[in-house]
Amino acid sequence: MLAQIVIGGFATGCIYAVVGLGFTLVYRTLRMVNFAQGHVFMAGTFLGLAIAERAHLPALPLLLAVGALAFVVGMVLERLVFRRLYHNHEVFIVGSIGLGIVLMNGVRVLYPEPVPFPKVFGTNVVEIGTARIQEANLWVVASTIALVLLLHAMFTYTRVGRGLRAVAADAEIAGAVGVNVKRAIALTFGLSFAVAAVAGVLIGPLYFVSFDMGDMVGLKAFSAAVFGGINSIPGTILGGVVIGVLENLAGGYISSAYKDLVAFVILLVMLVWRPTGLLGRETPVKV
Amino acid sequence: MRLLEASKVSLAFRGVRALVDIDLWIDDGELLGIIGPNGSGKSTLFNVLSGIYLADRGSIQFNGNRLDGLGPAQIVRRGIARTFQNKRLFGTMTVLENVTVAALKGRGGSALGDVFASRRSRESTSTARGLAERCLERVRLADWGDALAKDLPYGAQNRLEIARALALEPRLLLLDEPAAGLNPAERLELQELIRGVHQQGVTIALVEHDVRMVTGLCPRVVVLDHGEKIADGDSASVVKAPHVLAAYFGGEELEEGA
Amino acid sequence: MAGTRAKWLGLGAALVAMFAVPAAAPQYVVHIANFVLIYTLPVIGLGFLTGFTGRVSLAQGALFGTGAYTTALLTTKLGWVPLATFVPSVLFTVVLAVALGGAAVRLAGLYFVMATIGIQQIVWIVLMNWIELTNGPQGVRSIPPIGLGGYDLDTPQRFYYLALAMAVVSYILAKRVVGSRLGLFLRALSDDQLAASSVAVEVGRAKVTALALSAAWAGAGGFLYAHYVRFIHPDMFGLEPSVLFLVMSMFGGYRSIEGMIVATAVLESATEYLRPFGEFRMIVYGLLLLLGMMFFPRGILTLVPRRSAASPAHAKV
Repeated sequence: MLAQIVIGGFATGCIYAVVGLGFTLVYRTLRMVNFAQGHVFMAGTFLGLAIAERAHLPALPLLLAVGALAFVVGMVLERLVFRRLYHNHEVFIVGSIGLGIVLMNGVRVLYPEPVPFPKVFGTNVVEIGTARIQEANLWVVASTIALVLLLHAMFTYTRVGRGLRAVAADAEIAGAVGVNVKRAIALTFGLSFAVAAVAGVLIGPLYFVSFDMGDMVGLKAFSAAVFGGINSIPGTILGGVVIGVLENLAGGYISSAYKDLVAFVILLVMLVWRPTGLLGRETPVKV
Repeated sequence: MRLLEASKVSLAFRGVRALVDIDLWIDDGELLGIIGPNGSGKSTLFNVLSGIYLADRGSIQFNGNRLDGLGPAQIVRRGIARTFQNKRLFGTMTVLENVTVAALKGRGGSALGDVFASRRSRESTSTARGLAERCLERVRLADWGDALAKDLPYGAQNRLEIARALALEPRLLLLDEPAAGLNPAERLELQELIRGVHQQGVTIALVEHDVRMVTGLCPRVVVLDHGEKIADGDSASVVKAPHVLAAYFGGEELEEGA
Repeated sequence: MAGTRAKWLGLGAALVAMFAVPAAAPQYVVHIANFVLIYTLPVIGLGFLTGFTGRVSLAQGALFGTGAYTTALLTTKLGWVPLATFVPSVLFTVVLAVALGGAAVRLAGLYFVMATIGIQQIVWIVLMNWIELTNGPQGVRSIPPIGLGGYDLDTPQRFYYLALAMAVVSYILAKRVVGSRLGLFLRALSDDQLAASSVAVEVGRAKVTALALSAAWAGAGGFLYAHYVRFIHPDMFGLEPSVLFLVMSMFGGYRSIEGMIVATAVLESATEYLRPFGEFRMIVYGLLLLLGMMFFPRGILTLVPRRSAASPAHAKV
């Protein structure tokens, strides 16, 4: 029973981690928080749904397709929308919330009721020890690992990736040594959209999907990012997984009603205690 | 009597040693000059004295009490006020409001009193406003009361900084390059203002690049270089000392009030 | 001065006009006006945090709800008379806000926002799940109307006068705070925190005070709300109203209480006018937020040419 809860939580935690990555990527580069992220995740699910229903793609191509499309959308939106919101934090927050509302209700018009997602990851149940786990959960974990490895490789070994890291560290200097800062920012948004959308497809088959699923997931992913360190990628992953597991444990052993509290209490406590998160490095700006 | 006594004050930022074993004392009623090339640590020293930076080592005594570890607001209450080299005014507030804030010295009532306009709150505000108006007169900004601080011309902003510090009614006033950017006529005015404030019993420490102003105003001068004190004594002889001139080598740091 | 005299006449005329509304206007207009009046309280409260201290809070909806639930529970479960619950509602909201957020006000801007999100969600989740106390998703029904001098304020027209009075009082008090020493402290620390502490402003305490004030106004608004709509449930106090209040306090431009009131009126009426859009209503709302932030980041009242701010020496209120 315990193993089941932990593994289930691990899978959910991976979703928080991946969506949280989107927050982290944008924050590292811009020092701003994109509150549309949760709804991008949700939109990714429905995008995947639409493609899966029409094109009947198997799992991997579906993930890639959704990821690629979301990437492009992210870049376009950065150019058209986000770029005009950089004035200050408040403007960016409210503006991105507005965008999120548009996304959510846009999807709502098309899919007013919760719908099932095609079981693209199979329906087998795998037995690990005493736990019975759906195949889809394993896909979630495996994809998360693959994603993290890919991102790590990109950031470390490709020119583009190193450019992104440079911009995240210090945009002015990066620009001075020839990195195209504007494009780097656009790419960052593209990436953050892509990972969120992919997470959406990963979680789709596990539950019914509905237009309002982005809200809570977005906020918890956000808490995960802050918990682990909103400017640290490994921190965000760790944060997501920890929150996912703790949440499930709380739900299983204490009360399923207050399960949602876990993420937010952690968020609040973390901010007051150590705003940069478990693995964050930036000097905390208190006072 | 020694009003301020700093001993072995040291501060390093990420490996850069900003202040190294600084021993500094200021007598009650003195007008002390502090000079040194750019980056020698003068402003850093002021930041430590006014509670903005915490020194790594050393102790600071003011009027018999230790100041170590106190924050800016508490140090102000003990009687030390300062101006900032890069003019930290309250831009969206008027000239009068800028000085009134200081005149209140953080006191004068409670939040509830403010909401319901208690007598104490109103009285302390009007008393503070009175003090503020007098300080503005001292620096000849009385007519600018309703102007926004950020709209002021440079020289006037300088004087506003000083007025604000005066409103804190300090025993020790730290002036951080008050003459920067002023033309010769304004500098003479500033010199007279400083002299006047000093004569009213305020102890002053003056950081300046304008050596003529410093030697004109301050009988004693301290020289900093690379975070260390390299000279401390009679101003006329210190500014001519070979090792002091060597620290300024290159000449462009030493201004003659131009 | 001619300028201030004209301003007073204008305000006086507006007040008279507002008195006439219930008599002159149809019921649904009075109904909307009541919401506008009620919402000015949490919005002005938020203004203390945003406009004057530069701290964005997304928890105002939760605090608004705390005030509402306090009075709702005291009246329905303990049988208190509504007017008697006013002070406890406000007080409890302040205590809760300071308890949860007091440690967080010292955080820099963005981190503080994050903390308020945490607070907002925690309060909402508790309201939703502590069924024994709050009835959870069922909400609290049959909240009694406020009784004044024998009258029950149970129609929009009757309620209107109370709402108007409270809005006016909160406006006056807010203006007073702004012009007072606390207002000076808050504006100073918002302009330059370091300089503020260098002139003896107790920055930490001022920030907590601003938080407490914002909670007080929110709680008072919640009190009014509960006794007007007379049925409340947790979804009325989630992230969405928090965002709405924030937008109202931002759209008016920072530090302008008048601007916030205008923005509240405009935005609240707008959401009513959006009803014909049906499903697309929320999309339009989201677009308004987005476009508003993209093209009017400093608030709509910045379109109106402004004179230099009057100093406390000349403020009459």
